[in-house]
Amino acid sequence: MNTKTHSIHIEGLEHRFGDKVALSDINWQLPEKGIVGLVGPNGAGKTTLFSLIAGFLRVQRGKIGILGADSPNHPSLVGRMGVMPQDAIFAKDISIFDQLLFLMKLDGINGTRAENRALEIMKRVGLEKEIHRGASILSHGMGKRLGVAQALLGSPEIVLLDEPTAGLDPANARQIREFMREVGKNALVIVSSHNLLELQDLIDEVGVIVAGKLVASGTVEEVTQRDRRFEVTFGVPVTPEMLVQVDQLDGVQSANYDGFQMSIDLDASGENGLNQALLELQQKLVDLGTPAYELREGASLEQAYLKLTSDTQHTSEEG
Amino acid sequence: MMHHPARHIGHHAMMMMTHSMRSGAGVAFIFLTIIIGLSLANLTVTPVELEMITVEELQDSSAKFIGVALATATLRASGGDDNSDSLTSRMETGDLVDLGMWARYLVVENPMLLSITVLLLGVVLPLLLPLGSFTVISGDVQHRTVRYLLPRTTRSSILLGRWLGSLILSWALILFLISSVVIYLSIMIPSESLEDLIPWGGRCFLALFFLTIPYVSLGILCSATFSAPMVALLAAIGATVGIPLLSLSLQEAWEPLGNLLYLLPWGYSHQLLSPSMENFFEASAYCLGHAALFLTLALLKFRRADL
Repeated sequence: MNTKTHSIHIEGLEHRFGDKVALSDINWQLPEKGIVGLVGPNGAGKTTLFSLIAGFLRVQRGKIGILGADSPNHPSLVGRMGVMPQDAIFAKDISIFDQLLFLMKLDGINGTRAENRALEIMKRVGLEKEIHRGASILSHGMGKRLGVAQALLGSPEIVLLDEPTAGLDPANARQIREFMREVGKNALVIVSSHNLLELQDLIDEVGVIVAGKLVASGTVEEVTQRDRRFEVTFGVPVTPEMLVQVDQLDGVQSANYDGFQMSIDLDASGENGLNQALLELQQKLVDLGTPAYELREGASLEQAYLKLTSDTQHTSEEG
Repeated sequence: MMHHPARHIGHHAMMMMTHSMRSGAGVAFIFLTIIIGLSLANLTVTPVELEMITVEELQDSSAKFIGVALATATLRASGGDDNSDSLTSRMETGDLVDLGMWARYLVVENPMLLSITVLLLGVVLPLLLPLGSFTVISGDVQHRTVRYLLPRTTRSSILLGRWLGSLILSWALILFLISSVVIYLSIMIPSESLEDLIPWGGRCFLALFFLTIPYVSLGILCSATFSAPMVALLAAIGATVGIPLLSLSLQEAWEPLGNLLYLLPWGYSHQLLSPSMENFFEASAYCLGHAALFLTLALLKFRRADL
């Protein structure tokens, strides 16, 4: 099994809950560092895959190699992974501080060093005032932040975060994203989320899982290369004529408009890729006398995701 | 990072004991064990303390009662249907004279009130011990709190650590109970001297020390098998009470089925207070064997479980 250049190597993974197939023939190699997104509809198998990588569930069929070990439960992995499970709760009758100290004790960190680290990490997630209280007083969002904090307590080489920003207010979500970026420089962070716009700005690679199958994986560019959506804002309202002109360009797959904005899906698979398609578009807008006031990449990942999930659903319906 | 299993087991044991002092189930276990233990001691001591009965009268009646109980336990396998009078006469002069001496060893040669208290504890403790262990694994599995631990430690360390923590907590409670009874008896009952009470208290503690190990292990096995804590508790207490009842009732139909009693320490635990050290060591070894079996099954179950 090649685990030299990949921190996680998944081969032929299949998992069932009774008769229900939760995951089927998953093959995926994940890099040593960076942030990898795992996306998919509800019930697609994301949490099952997380749970298998984290060692919560036993591998039924296939292989998961992690950091050179041939099983997620291998003793050599102890303390090398940080996991934020989606639905786990902290013990309610012990203070958060004591629980964090215990987790660090397992990681081999004791005394003042452990206390300082616990305070530091709680500050990073904005929970320093709650550290000496019980977990029962935490709101849903606070619980999420505590989950992220405990996952990053030690120095994990792999961090699994299952919907870490779900239910967080924008400021806290941003704080967590910044934290993930920092950790992703030295470790592999795998994060699942339904917020694809958030993921698009955050991740280096993505895996799309639909109905238990990994239907696409790779860098964001690789996954979205055929459908790059751009939002163009004009100084004047968009007219149907402008839309027709833009839609006729070779690099444009489809276009829509609403008020002063036009959403354009570019085909980046041509000879010069995205650059050529963008150049043609901008040239055409100048020729039409309606230059773009603002041009920014839109929900490309979301677009790709919707297309992939839709394709897979159609395929399974036809099958 | 190096994983140190022994250190992790120690951390889990310590955390388990600390948690027990704060959690509802843990406090209930500690409270009930102390209250019931002291109540049993009180039940034994009060008649003598209030001079409702003399020490000699109590010795006489206790020797007969304990003798009959020992004879029933010992002869059970051979299906004896003797009544208590014939058993008593056989213990005085006949083939059961050893059992008569055993009963006298407990109530005449050693501090009687302490012996009776410990004999009662030996019956009640197996029912109390599951209270201290039923949530040890199942509680964290039900709430998935165990998922915070799994990346940092091994499943075996969690289970063994919590088993050890439960054992140490149970031993501490038993030591507290026996020490309390010894101190109380030495102060309140002039006939019970501290010189006699302390060595016999040590021997009684050893008997309950070994008795605790298989029953705590059974509680851990149930806790590792059932993710719902109440189901784990019912299974542990159900097995502890149900197996002897089942064994006794099935024995009526077919005698060998009486050996079902040996699925738990009920069949040999009385030997832990035997005057023969050979019998004591044998019973202790059986206790350890039972514990090893339950613990191995718990480990196999927990290591393969989806958590």
